[in-house]
Amino acid sequence: MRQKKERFITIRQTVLLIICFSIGGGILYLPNTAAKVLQSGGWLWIFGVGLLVILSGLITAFLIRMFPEDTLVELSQKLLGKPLGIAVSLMLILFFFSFVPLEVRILQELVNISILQQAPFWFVGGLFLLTLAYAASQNIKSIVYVNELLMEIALGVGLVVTVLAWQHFDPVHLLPVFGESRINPAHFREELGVAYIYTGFPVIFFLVPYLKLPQKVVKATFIGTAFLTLIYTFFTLTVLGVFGYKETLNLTYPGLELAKSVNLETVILERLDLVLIVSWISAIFTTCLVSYFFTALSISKLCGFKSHSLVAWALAPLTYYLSTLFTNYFVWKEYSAYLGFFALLVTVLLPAILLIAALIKRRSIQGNQ
Amino acid sequence: MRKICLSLFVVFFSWTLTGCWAGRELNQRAFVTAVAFDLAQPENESNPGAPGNGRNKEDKTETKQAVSAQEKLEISLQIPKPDQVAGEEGGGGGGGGEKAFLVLSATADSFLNGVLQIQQQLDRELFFGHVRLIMIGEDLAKEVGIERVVDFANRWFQIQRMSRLAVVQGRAEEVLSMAPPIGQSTSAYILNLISPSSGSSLIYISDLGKYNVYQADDGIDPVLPRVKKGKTSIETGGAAIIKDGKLAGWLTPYETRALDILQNEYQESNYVIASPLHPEDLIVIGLVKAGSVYRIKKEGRSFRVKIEISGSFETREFSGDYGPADLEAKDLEKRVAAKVRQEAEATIGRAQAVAADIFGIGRMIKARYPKDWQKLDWAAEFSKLPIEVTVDMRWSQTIRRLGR
Repeated sequence: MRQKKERFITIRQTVLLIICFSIGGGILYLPNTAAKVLQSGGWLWIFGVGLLVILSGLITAFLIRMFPEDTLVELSQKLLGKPLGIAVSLMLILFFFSFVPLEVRILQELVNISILQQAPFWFVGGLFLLTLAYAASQNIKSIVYVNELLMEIALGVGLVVTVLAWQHFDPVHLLPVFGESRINPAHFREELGVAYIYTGFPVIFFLVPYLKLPQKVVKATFIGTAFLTLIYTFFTLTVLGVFGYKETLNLTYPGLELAKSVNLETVILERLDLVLIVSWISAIFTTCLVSYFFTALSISKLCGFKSHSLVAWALAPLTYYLSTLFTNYFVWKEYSAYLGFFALLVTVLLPAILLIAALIKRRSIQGNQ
Repeated sequence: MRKICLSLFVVFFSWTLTGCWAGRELNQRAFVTAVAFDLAQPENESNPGAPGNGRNKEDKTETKQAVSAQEKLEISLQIPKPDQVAGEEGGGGGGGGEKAFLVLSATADSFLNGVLQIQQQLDRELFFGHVRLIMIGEDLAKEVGIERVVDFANRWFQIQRMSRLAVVQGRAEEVLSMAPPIGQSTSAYILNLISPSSGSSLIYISDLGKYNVYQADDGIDPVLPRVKKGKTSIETGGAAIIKDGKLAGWLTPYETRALDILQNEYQESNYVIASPLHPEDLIVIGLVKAGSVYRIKKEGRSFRVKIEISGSFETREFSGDYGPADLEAKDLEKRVAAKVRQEAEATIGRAQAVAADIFGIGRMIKARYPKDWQKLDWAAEFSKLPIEVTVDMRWSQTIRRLGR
């Protein structure tokens, strides 16, 4: 019989976990993708995708509220039967895991850009993965508290940089509101790639058995996804307003360039980009930590292991190898677009299928009674 | 076993705590503070040490290699001499009026090739993270263009978007080699002159980031501050109009002041006007605030623009035997408005003459009429665009002394 889990995660911590998982390296190049899709109206595209994600998040939250004792591994097997349930669990495991190599690669680039320019991947990526494996081998309580602390610092710094950049904001850059043309089908993959940056809410598939108040999961998901939508929209709007979409298209990391544009000559910190990079490493760490932890936890659950620690350590070499496959910007950017497509499957299609299965099952139980 | 593993783990991680990789000590680096670009001069290539080219053998080392027809850039780097800087700051003095910086030059087909040449004669690694000023010589700006020159700065993570860009009327290297009247470094001196902290509205404030945004945008052409070598000192004021990435013309300091108003980036400045009581007398007024609003009207297929300038001023100096109490406010306001309008119209005329939309009118049209914009040949349209300027000035400051 399964042990009853300790319920300790608050709504605030749930919201922060959703945000932690979503906000990583992707936001730094998000405005570039948005500008490709809808030019000066790119921020509207981000907002529109955000609304879709809020809706998907709510569907997911409604679904898991019906099964407050189960993670997705158990829930999917209950609803779809064992073989299909295992397949769904594997899909979600793959989904969580697929973020880690990409984020590690972005981290390596950020470190090389500004901090340790010649440090090789085995040093930066390798140490990061060792730290990650160690952190992910701990219990969920530690993960929640670490996330809470690191995310607030990263968000604080990011917000300060964004707000300060408004000294260069020019509203004419945001016109025409709907861009110069309609959504470009040639950029279909970029459009999907945008979905990937919002994909934080699937963490609730694994969180609900630990929530203090599982019935409040809908509220937490709504707050988390709505907050993300606002953050991403505000950030993209600021970048497009400061640089204009044409300059944004030229920039690999518009987020970093935004920090490089902020002038604080009279204040002690002149180089805000370095501050942003340092704090953003913690944002990347939290994204990786959450995805890595839930990957290890799901695999251990699926295989019936007592602890996920060994799985966490065992995943490190594989992650390292996969990270080395992203040899340059173009390779990992393409991968992130595919990841966006996968994210759409997991965050929109999967919850909808599971909810339909749950409703059918409930109706058949009620019919039998 | 567990303890051994843990100990090894701790030892391994403590080795990484310094956070260093390929670390380099400060005394192993040469910090570049300013870069100057010029078009390579044929006579210099054959005779690098030729007199009269503004080179100081003591402070400047030439690296000239065989120059092919492709090689066009003369690159000069300013590097502070740490011992001189430390000596002067400590009060000990660098000795003998020696400059506290070094200017190294090379001629090459690309910036990085030039850097490679200069690096060959330095025992320290050149570091560009402190570059605050990039100056481009007039000939290079006209013939090759700004884009070619700033390419390295845009691609190199070390260089900040806030680095100032300036076009030198004459040769940039000559200005870079001049000793500043105050302070130790030319780059810091020029930087102060072309920064908002200078307090002058006769200059145009721009940096690499702003240039890139304006250059990338449709319907606006960038402007860069002008620097030139005076008889004894470095002079600023005025601006360079950039069209299609190349120097298209110059704005005088007063036209630059009007441009600041037209771009809503105006800082306080003094204007000298003829007195409404006695035209031979002069009154100096301080225009403390000024800004502009653009009204764009579509008339058939063409556009008409009205620029409404408004601001406030105070009277600061009278050459005649009277004071503010003797003046009619409306008369004075009219005269100030006429002066501001005259400068604004001169600036507009200068921009239209070279078909460079430095005001961003095209950008406004593109934002409001995107479909019409696609059909426009803006450079041709802008040159003949009817632009009307109206100015409304208010005498609104407190007065300390009423009469003579």
